[in-house]
Amino acid sequence: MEIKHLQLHWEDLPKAENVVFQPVEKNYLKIIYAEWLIFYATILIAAIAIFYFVKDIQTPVIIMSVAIVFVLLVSLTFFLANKAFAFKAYAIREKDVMSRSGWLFQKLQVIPIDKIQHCVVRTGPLEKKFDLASLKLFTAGQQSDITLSGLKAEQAEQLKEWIVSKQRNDG
Amino acid sequence: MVSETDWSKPQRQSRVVILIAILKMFKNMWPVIVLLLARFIFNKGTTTDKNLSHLLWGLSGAIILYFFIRLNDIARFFFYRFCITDQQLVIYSGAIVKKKTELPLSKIQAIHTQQTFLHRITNTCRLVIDTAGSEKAEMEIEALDIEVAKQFQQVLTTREIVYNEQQVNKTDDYIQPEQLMQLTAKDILKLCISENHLKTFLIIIGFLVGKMQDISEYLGFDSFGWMQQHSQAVNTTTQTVVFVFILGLLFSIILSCIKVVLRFYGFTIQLGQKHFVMKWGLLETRQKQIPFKKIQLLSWRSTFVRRLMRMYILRLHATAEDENKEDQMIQLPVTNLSQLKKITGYYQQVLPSQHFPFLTIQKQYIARGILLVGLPITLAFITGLYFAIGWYTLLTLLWLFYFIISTYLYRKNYKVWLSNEAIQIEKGVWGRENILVNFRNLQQVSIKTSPYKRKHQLADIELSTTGININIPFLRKEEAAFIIDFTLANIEFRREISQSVLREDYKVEK
Repeated sequence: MEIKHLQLHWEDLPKAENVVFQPVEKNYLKIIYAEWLIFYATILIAAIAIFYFVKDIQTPVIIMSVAIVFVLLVSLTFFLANKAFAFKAYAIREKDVMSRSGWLFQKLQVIPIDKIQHCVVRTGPLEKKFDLASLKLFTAGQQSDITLSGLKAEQAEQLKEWIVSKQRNDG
Repeated sequence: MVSETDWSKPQRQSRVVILIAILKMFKNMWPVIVLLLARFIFNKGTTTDKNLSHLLWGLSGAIILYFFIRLNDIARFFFYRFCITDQQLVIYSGAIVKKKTELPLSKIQAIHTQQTFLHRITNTCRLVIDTAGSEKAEMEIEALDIEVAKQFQQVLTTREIVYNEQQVNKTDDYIQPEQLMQLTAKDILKLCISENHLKTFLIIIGFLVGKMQDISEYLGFDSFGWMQQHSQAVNTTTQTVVFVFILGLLFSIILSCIKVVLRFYGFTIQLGQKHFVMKWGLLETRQKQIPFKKIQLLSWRSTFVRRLMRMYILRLHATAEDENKEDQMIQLPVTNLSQLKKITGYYQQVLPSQHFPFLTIQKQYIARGILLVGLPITLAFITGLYFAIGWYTLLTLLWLFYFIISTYLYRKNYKVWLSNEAIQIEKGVWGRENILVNFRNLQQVSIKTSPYKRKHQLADIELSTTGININIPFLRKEEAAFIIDFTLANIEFRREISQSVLREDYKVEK
């Protein structure tokens, strides 16, 4: 019987940093903007209501200060969202799925396909409008699931099917 | 001798369960009754007949309500049944709404038994069955005759192994577990000595303060005022303070020793066919069983004193275990290194630290720790305390000094070893904690950076198992990339490289 006794060299290992990442769909940025707009619109309405009912804070200084902070916060959020969107990407390798996210604080997550328990395609009302979907990959771990957002709906379905068939074929 | 039970037919719990339910009811109710009665007695002078009548009605109402809630436990005896089919454990329950639970034997993760004092005198035990799909115990049989429980455990263990191995013809091959380790009186004494007595002391103080608050609240008696009044009456000198402190510490030592004896008395680890069986406890005897394949990772830790004595508390992290519930944790006291290697060997044959060079975290870890944690906290305390104690606030700098020393030691002691099958991490300031995870148990790997880390070519990595995430901070970027690539190659190409060895000079060229 021949016993294999291979040696592993770092140079021979497939490297995660050499992978070419696929950016998410451009329309996904509109969804991110829309979600933040809804969030800030709610806060704005609540703030206007507070200013309307509480007479003590109806001074120009307080109103101006709150308005400036609000505008700065909104601008910062959109700036960060834009930057994070540009960095957001994913990659599919033969045996794993990679997701890249963040901007200042960057994160690269990798899930081996063998470890995926099941996957779910999700489409929200906004995503439906732009024909987009998210693919959530669940593992057996409680904190190790990843979501690939901003995929074309058809692409998300195909990817899901591919993962399922890959798992079936690899046993 | 108990006759063989036919497990294909639905079985009942022991009748002792009714007694346990009644006793539980009284056990949970008596503090409320005592406190309410005490409140009535202490405030007798100010209590009117109306108040007394309200109190009695309230008390009776609470007892009746609680009795009805507990009635469920008694009803459970009559309607709870269980049986074992070819591949499933079937549980029938519910008085009004009938429920049938089918549990595949392959999903059974562990079978544990527990014996309280009452179980012991009635020769019964509680049986707990854990599964991988749920954080809480899937099935609990409150009381089962001990011999019947043993049979049940054997049948489940054998069938579960058989089912997984697909050896349908070997259902009767139950092998009696062999003794792997046992704690001697000397070991228990060492555990007593090395226990964290200061922690017990602080817990006692916290407990006393809490109870005094309860007394003030429920009895309407100012316990803090009473204590202040009596302490003023005593001539407080340095000697008395030292005496009280030493007395408190002695009491804590005695208490932590009792705790150790109660917990670890009769501790044994046995080796089953494909699982460990652990038994321990003096008043409440527990037995836990865990199959090797359900162990996700191992960790062992030792305090400074225990490190000197070469003693460790080894923890087996099982699938779907709740990290916050101590009673779910499987912790074993190990009294020497060879025992530790023997037990860990069933999870990972060779420890990476035995054969491979280590990687360490970079010195920027110290600077960032001081800048982001040490200095802001010190400045906040110095400013805050200045108004209360003046320039004595500068004593806070001592804490900063300790923080710097401990951060330096933590970085110095942090070591990461990789073998071609597992990763091992050792860390700690005065004590040590080791984490050992086989690559097959990893679910996800990630690499994280911040602007500061990118500037200094550093990165953190996170390895996720089914239970916990292992974070390795401040690695050199190339080393982090190597660990990620190597780990993934091991998970994804395990079949291809299962017989390979890792080159010893894997450390990235500096």
